[in-house]
Amino acid sequence: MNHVTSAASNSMLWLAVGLFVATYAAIISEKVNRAIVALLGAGLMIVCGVLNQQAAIDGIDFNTLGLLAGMMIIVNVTKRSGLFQYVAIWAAKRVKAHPIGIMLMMSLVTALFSALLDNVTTVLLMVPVILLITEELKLSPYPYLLAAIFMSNIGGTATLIGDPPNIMIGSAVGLGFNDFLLNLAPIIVVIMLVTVPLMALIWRKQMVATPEDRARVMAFNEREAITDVRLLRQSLFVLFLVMTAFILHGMLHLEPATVAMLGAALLLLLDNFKLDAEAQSHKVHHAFAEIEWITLFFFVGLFIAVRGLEQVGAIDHLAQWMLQITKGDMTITALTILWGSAIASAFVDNIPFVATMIPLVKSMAPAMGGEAAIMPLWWSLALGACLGGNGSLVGASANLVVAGFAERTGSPIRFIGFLKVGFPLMLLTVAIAHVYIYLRYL
Amino acid sequence: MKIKICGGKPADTLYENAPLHKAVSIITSKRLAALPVINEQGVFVGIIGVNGLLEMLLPKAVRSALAQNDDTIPSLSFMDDNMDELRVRLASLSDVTVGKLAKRDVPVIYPDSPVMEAVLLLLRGEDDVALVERETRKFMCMVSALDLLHTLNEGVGK
Repeated sequence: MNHVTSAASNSMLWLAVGLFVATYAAIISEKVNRAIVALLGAGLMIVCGVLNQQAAIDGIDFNTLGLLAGMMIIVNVTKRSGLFQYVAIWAAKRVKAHPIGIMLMMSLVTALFSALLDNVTTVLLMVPVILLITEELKLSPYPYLLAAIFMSNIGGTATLIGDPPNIMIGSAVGLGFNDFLLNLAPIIVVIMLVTVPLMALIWRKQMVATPEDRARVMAFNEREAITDVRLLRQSLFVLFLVMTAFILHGMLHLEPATVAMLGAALLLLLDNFKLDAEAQSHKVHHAFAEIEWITLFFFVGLFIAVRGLEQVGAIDHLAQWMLQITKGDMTITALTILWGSAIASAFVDNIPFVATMIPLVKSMAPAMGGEAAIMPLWWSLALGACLGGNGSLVGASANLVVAGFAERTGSPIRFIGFLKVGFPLMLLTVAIAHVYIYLRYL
Repeated sequence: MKIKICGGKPADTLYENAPLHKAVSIITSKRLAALPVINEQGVFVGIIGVNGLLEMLLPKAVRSALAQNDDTIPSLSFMDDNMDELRVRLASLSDVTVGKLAKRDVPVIYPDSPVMEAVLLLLRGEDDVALVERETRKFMCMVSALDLLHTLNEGVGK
């Protein structure tokens, strides 16, 4: 009887693994939209009996979804005020529109925005202004676009809300905004101090503009970029409240998703205050329509697919296998996760990768001294998965968004061209992270 | 199409290898909203319109955003330009061929299309609509909202 039960659970394990691998392969192939693939994979996990519907719903991390959706609404409403154009133009003028100065400032602003917003949103806001300024300066936008990609991935690593892997890790492990800020932001500052001057050095010969062209950028009036002063004030007020609540969330006992959703609701309330019902419907519809539903449904499907793997014990098997390889040594395990995550994330989407790694790392906790003892593993995973995105053009969604912009404006970014700069830069940043992890945690 | 739209006068057309300055010259002198672009066999290729010409003056990033229906750059009021600069920008395009800048994926109407279809396309689009032969796509004439209203009005009371 036991033999029969074991065979049945064994076949269920292989079925779940097969479904998961097929889902993963289909996501990597990019033949079908990733949200469709993830939802199909999740649906098949239920239909094939790996999970029942309740177990599937229990697998969805609503804290991650709520945080992402809330921040998307806040950014979509805020961007109408012209705030992001204002900051970008202001930054370019602070360095007298000098091409190298602009590279440094845009890198700084992109990294800062990326730490507070998600990476795709950041590049969507920054790239049009970068293209506009480089066109006025008659410069190739290529170095600036690559810098925007690199800095969005590097800057996003610094905080809980900067990159989806961090949101997922934070939610799964119960880490807050301050935990990420204190553990990851310091090394991100160091990485920026190394990489930004390096980029300026690599492309310095391309970054020359005439005084006339610089004067044209200097004549930009950044105040005119603000299209709605009232909305700007409201947005800044809500952003301030949200950031404060993230920092104080431990004292307030509020999950990040609650903070982001409340912030979004407050901003929508302020933006729609005193409008008639029809105008409110129009504005709210517009704000909700701009949520990246593909990303959110991709997450839903992935969470369910990964829960399927957990349910059949595949994650435990994988964790045991990894412990055998690393012999349970914290240093070897942490650095393997760091480099493995970085290399994997350079070529496959870091979201499904991290979704799979989270239960794997959790499963290793009992054998490695408990949950508190494995904190270096979480920081290694976060650093590897986020920084790895710079390794290739397909390493992160933000990379492809910028490539799309570049293609449409006649300055295409090719896979090999990107790889030649991005991969060595990624190795350099992960090497810096390696030293940091080793010195601080191991 | 039940109503005869094309008048007796041949419509202005441009071959796709014509220079852009010729399009600008005809459009401005005859105050046309759009000019049809055809190939050497007289087959309709696309349209070059006033809006398309003006769009070429915008920075690439803004043109790309417009094409994507993206409001990432909600305003250009921060920019500082002057008429001379814009004239230089327009002049720099004068030798580009019309075929390169023509809008190609434009909807057209056929002689047997319902009038309602022509009305809908005119209300949806920014330019006049081309009337082409269904089988060969040979260009016949351009139909403007004014032409259509004029033709309809001529029939009133008959």
